[in-house]
Amino acid sequence: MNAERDVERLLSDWLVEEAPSGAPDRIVLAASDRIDHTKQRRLGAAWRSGLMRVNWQLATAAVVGVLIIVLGAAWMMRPSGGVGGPVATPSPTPTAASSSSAVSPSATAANLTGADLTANFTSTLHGYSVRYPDAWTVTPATETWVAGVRNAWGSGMNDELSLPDVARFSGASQRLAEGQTAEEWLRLSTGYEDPSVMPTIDIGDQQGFIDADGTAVPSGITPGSVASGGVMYDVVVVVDGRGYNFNMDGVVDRSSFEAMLASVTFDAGSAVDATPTPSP
Amino acid sequence: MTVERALVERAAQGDREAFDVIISGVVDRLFAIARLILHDADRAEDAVQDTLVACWRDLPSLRDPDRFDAWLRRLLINHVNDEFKRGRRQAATIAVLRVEPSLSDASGEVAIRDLLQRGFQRLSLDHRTVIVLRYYLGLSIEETAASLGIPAGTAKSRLHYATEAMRLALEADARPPVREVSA
Repeated sequence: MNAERDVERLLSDWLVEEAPSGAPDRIVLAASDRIDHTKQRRLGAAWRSGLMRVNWQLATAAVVGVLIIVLGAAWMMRPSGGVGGPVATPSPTPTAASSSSAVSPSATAANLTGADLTANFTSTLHGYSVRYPDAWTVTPATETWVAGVRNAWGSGMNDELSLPDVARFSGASQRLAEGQTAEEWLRLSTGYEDPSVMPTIDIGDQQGFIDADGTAVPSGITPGSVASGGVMYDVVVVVDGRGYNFNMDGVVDRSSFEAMLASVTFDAGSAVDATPTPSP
Repeated sequence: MTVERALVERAAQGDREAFDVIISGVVDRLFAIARLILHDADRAEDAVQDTLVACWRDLPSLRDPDRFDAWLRRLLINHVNDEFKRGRRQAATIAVLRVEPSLSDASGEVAIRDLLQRGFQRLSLDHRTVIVLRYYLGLSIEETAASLGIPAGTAKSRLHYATEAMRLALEADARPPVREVSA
């Protein structure tokens, strides 16, 4: 038996010896109490209730995104003139302003930090800004998020910043209904009877609530996660009379999501539906 | 920790009794995993409690009930990570690692346990996690990778470095107490 095997055996024996034989009853009691006040999230109803057309949109976006990345990489790797020139990063609308002209070295969504978020996206539809890696594709929302309607992936209601087939950051917001409190909106959005028990997270200078924290997103769901075998993070927050929902899915990690959330700035007054539509 | 498919399906449909049966079958193992990784019973309790609540809330998202065990492990690891970060933030103090002198125990078992404990506490959270999954639960590299949401190659590499660190810890002679600054 070699040294490594010895260590493995010692570790295995030691861990078994160290492991507690049972869990305190209070864990189950406390969890049960919380579960009594927790509604189950219906995945199909929450994020994945999209239509088949969504698949085509996602597929098209993914193919276009991959082509752009491949062409961009080939351009960057050509023998001369590979540095300093503009790169054809997709910029579907003038609202997606890139602050850098070079492809970010971080072409993944793992361990992103603020330093990797070199581009800025401003959502005129939803009233916020967020920073993202400049190699990512930006697909601004085309529809407002109306109360009572699910903002499923690919529905057109979300701004989607993505690294095709790898990761996606989604953002949407809606004006609170007249007389609706922040707590009521949070309760409706998350299913929590008491939203105050939700874990919190910093979103820009606000404190938001975590609705999904690394939840596995099984494949085979329509339209499903941007990456097979991915996970999903989902947070909500109410700022200046608007309910915001940010989501990240794919092969992503919590720290990357946190980094993007930290860069969010809110401007609820600039959202397209910031003021009530006057009655005729 | 294998949970029956029928129970998972019932619980995913909102059957609390089925979920309670699931909980009773998994909570001990979940707590053991969390306790080993975090090395703190209170924080392990919190991590397991959060995991159970998240499990109930998100269970309908699990489309393949046969993957429940791996899915639950992943939920637990996520909450253990959260708890670890929370603990680090709360305990921004100078800690003195309790290092018992290696008694000249004839059998050496006590000394080895001390070395293992000391070495394990020095590991990063990622390394502790991979060691617990592999050597406590006996998961394969592929199962370990799936539980962590990382490629198998990364899991293999992480396990190699973690095991190597433990080997070095075992080889080390007894040292004087080490002062460590927690972030």
